[in-house]
Amino acid sequence: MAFPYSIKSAVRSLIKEKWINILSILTVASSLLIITLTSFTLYNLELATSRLPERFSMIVYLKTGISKEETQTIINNLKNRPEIDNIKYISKETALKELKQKLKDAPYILEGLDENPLASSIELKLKKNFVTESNVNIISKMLKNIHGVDDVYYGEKIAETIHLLKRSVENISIIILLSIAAGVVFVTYSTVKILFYRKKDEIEIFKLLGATGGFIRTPFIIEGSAIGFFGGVLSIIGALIFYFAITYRLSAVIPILKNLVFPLEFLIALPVIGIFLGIVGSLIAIGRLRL
Amino acid sequence: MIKFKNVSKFFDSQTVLRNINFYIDRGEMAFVTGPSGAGKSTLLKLIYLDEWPDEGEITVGDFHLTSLKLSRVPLLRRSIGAVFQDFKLINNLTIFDNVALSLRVRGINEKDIKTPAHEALKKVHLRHKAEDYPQMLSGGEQQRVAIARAIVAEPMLILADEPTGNLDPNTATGISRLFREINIQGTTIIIATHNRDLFKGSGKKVFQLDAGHLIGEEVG
Ligand SMILES: Nc1ncnc2c1ncn2[C@@H]1O[C@H](COP(=O)(O)OP(=O)(O)OP(=O)(O)O)[C@@H](O)[C@H]1O
Ligand SMILES: [Mg+2]
Repeated sequence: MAFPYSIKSAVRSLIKEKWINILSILTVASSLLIITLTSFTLYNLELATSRLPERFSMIVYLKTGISKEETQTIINNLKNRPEIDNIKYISKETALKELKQKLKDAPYILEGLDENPLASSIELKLKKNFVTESNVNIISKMLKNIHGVDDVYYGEKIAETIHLLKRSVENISIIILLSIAAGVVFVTYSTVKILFYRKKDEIEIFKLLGATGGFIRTPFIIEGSAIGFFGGVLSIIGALIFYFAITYRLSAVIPILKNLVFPLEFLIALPVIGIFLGIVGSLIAIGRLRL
Repeated sequence: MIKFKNVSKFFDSQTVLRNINFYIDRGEMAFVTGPSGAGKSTLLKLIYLDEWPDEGEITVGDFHLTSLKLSRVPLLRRSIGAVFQDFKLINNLTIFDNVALSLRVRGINEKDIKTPAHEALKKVHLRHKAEDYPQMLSGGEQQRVAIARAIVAEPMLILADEPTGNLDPNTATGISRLFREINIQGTTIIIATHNRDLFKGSGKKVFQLDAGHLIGEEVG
């Protein structure tokens, strides 16, 4: 097995051609750092928006003039639905009392009201995992179809805006991630290609001695993955510096930044992604050369 | 072992080898001689497929070169140990690693490399130069490294192109003796040379090339 020798000659080449290798490691590191920061943003956006639905509630307005029994049936009906977490009945009397409480500085607004103009309503909170945009729409339609329900109100626009915002951030991030990943592949590709051409004479001799394509290629692939690996390790350092800078320094100014989370998986993922992209780059660089 | 049948080789319009026919048996030692530019190196290159024949058929052991798949060329080359006229040592490898390369391309385990590589260097009296680099060696020493690299893996066939070209008569005699010892153990050897001393009185086949034609076969 020639594998230990391949590692040895890859290491020798990494040292001998240190400048070009250092340069491409730095390039890979900064590209991976951009990948990290993008994923970091995505991850935290996901975290932040997935917390919103906990507070997601809907208000069901009941028709005026329905009987107590009918109201009770609706309440019981809603209580048994799996997607509903808890409900709160607000009778029109309670609603008026609350309104009067709110308007106690300007009671004249309600002066002369003989009849309570408000409707009874039920405020309900959805279980967290049911709160997706399409689910909310379906549930709202279902509620409207219940006998005795007048209208359903929920933060339709808010949910939709958040959703759209999230979508577009995701899309932009994916484009960034893909192009940076392609950039990393290209950097290792060109480095390995340059190294390959520098060793052209040597490789000619290897071939005359009967070396197989695998024997010749393996050190280059190891070298490409080493560039990716060291780039990944370096980018971890960059990412950590960035993370502590924003959580400790910037959060003094913008407190919400304190809630940002740095997933530890990144620490493993970066070198692995680096190695993977490095291997892809070097494979493209030498895989198709006729040996 | 090696058979040339109506083999011709052209470079552009120049005929370098014309209608060559010969046969060398397994375990034989043979010489190719002739003036500079006669086509000796080209003839050897055809055997390890550094050059491909334009006409005719070549057989090397079980390999039929004319129809050999490209993927099998490394296999052919690994069954041969070649001493190139221009040595072809790798400058950024030590002498030891240059010789060891012959074993490594054959997939020999790292732990089984040291002994034979040093052994081969000892045979060409360069054991003490193992850690040097090719540029630190004289032309004759480099040539002997090339010989060590060709013999280290004990191939069934050795092709040596002018292996004593840079050596003084005494050292040349030593190398000539080394080849004969290896040949006695059953290895087929072909040596291209102008040095008549190498084959004079050897009783071996000598092919005479002139301007690409095989003009004679004598016994040295
Ligand atoms: N790659 C090539 N392209 C063009 N012509 C070549 C090539 N290789 C060899 N030749 C020509 O083929 C002829 C024979 O060359 P070759 O090297 O086989 O001679 P030789 O007998 O080995 O000579 P020497 O004794 O000087 O080594 C020469 O005229 C040379 O110019
Ligand atoms: Mg020659």
